[in-house]
Amino acid sequence: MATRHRSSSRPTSTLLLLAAALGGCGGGAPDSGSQSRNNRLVASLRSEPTGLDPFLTIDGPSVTVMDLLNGSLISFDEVRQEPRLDLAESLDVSADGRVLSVRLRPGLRFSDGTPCEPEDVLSSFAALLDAERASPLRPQLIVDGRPVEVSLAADRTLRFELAAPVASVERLLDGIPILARGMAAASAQWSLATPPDRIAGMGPFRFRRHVPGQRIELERNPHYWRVDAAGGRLPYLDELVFQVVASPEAEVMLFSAGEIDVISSLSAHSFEVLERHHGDRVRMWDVGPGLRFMFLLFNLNESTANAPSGPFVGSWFRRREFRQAVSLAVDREAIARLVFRGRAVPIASHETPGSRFWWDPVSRPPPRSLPEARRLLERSGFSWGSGGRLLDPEGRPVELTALVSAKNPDRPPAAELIREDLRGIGVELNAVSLTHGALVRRVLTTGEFDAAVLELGGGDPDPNAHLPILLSSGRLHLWQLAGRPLFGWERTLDELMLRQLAARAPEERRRLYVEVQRIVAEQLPFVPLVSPHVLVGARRGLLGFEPAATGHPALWNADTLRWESAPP
Amino acid sequence: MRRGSLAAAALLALHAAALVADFVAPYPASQQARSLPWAPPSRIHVRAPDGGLARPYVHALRELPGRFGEYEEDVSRRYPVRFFVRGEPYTWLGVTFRTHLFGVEPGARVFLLGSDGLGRDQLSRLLLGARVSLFAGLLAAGLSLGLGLVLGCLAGYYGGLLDGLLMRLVELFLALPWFYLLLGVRAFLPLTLEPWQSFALLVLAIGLLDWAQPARLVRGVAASARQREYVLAARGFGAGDAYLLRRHVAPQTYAVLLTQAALSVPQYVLAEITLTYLGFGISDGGASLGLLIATLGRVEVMREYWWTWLPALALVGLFFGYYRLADALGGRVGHVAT
Repeated sequence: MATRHRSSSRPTSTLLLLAAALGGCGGGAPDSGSQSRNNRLVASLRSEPTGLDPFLTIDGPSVTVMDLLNGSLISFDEVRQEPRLDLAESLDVSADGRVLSVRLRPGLRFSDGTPCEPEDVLSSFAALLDAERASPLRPQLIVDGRPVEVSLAADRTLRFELAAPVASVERLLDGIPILARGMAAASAQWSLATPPDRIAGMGPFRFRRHVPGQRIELERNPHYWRVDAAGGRLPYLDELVFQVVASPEAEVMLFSAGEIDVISSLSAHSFEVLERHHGDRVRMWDVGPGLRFMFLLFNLNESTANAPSGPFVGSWFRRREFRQAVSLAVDREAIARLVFRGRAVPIASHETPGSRFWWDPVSRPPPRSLPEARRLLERSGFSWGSGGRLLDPEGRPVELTALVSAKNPDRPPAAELIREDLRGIGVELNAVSLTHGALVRRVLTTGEFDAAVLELGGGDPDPNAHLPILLSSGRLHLWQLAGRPLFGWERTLDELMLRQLAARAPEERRRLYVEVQRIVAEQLPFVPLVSPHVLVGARRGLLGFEPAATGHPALWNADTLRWESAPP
Repeated sequence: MRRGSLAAAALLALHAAALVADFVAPYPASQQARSLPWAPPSRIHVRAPDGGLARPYVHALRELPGRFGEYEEDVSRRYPVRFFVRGEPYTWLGVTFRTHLFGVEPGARVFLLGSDGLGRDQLSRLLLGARVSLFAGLLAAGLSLGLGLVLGCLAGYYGGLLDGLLMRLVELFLALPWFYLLLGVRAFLPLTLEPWQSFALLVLAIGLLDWAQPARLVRGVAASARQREYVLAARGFGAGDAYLLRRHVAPQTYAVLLTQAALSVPQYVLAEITLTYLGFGISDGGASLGLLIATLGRVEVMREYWWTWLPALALVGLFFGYYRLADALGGRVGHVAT
């Protein structure tokens, strides 16, 4: 399962520095293209976007395209993992942390040439906060149960008033698209079939054409606000085309044939094949661990009556010693090595080294130790019967089922490795492949599962991106769905996560969040396994390419990509 | 018929090997050698360092530094290939054995067909998987043909309303998209099944869904046979329906059924393989040809590790043998079942 969250992180002073480094905004006439332009970049999408309404549509492919069509007051530098000013020229936070004053850059225009006024920003936020519209982005602007209040002040300035101070308050505005007044309401109808002249944003590109089932074509936005250090208007590219390619294998083949220029979400093996056989034409990057992590989830729901192996599995999983024993028995190094060919990192909790500022390097996964695992199980009342089978305190053999998604090729071999590892402590694990939808339904709705091998991966390193998972009321609190803490440590997790949400000093937030990671590592509501590396490739000759471990690894800075020479 | 005899002999040998797969296979299907993922087929050496002939031996493999899945031989030690060696225990017909046809001492592995991504011996998985797939196919064929024989004989012998009803049922079953039905059946089954339960249910599902074609063929033969003079004569002498069906009508259908069996078995083997390939049959850890072929679903595996093709090639040989046999049987009995 992949989730996408946007939230908060760093001090305002950093924003100002980044704003200064980015250069000026775009006033005056659009650039007529007098600089050498190396035209076209072809990327890929696994499926067609479902729509182009930036307030409503949140599926991955749609967001990838919309991020290039729309601008926001604040965005996120994925390489430096810091927020930066985009459409906002400046941002000030009041002493009590409840009021943001954002000054809009002068001379902004939408892609149809319409000037952008502060009233457009006001109407965009009004559309987003419209309860009837039910935008999935709306909760981002609800603080302490109250929507953020947006009002106009003098001199291109808007005021955002919060009910209470929050951590990294500027990130509240991150990724909120700004549309023209007339279009904010009409955007609900935007789709791939909408005539391009009816869609306008302030991103580096604008929508040109959709060829159903094949590709989406974007063209350069001549009114884009950003300029490079020499004052030349960005983006450099004239066209950005997304090919719809349903399978990862087809994507790799098209990339190796030169029909796609950039590729991300590669398997480790594909990465090595491309590097070895096509290194003269492509360049590959192993960016290191991203934010994705694989884990073995236990069903810790209050009732496990529907669990396939029997209602008593809950009594096993609710014992911390059992969970810790499983964690000690699993060979994470083998998973990293055999499933990801060494391009993954064993992890101790839900946070990964890809989150540079927030990850706790002190938390290390325990070295594999079957004797220690057995000791823990004995202490918890388990024993061993004939053939080395583990028996629970009631004498039942410990046998359970782990669900894996049939769609993902990495999870079945990981489950098989775990199966062999758990045999070492007498646990019999049966891995069952299900379609993704059936698996999600069992985990999130019906509770008809014992365990599952899953992945989660956000595009945002901020701890608030993990709120839906870690808060007991969160919609992704996978191990139990009661909506409230069932264990004392869950109560502690809730408190810590809410405290870090309200803390304004980054160091304080980090301290609290490190404590969260250590609780997860100790209590193990799920057994964290590994975090795969982010693997990216691009055709040689593409300049400005800075693959990132977060966000869209290849296109997060599409406005600064350019070709060394025009492609043939 | 000579080519049919060759095909039959080859199939018999293959099935015999699958039947005693635990003995022939040097390792259990699920045993992982985690230091040897994607190891190529072992090189069997027969020349000693001095150039003379030696007992067949292998060297241990070690991974090249920084090169995942690439190996060099450690020539410092030889591991002779021995026969009737003591290895991992297995149970056959309720009895536990430890003797395997061949193997090497611990410290090295003999991977005649290479290893997979978890260091599991492909030959062992092929043999043990073939046992599952082949016997699933045979049993399913037996079930569908048995059902087809009974219902077809009844329809053809009695005719009339019974014939009409049964043939309408046949048409219904022929029109069903069997593959999607199988997926639907699997969806209703419990999530957790023992391997033998998965196996039995697969056999039942495949066999019970595909009786219609044999039934239709048998019905035609039975309808023709009931008009024969010897049948009429036997009836005239007081023979009952059960006797006539058993002694005179049903035997007329055996040739057709035999040909149909030779065609059905590979189809059912393919059905089991397809279900397992898609993740809805026997789970990993258990062995199945579908699981072996599933690794070929990744382009990079197909391209880089040629030995992963070998199970698929073995399947081609299997199907070829069955179709040759069916061809020969069809030519002999004058029926060509399609």
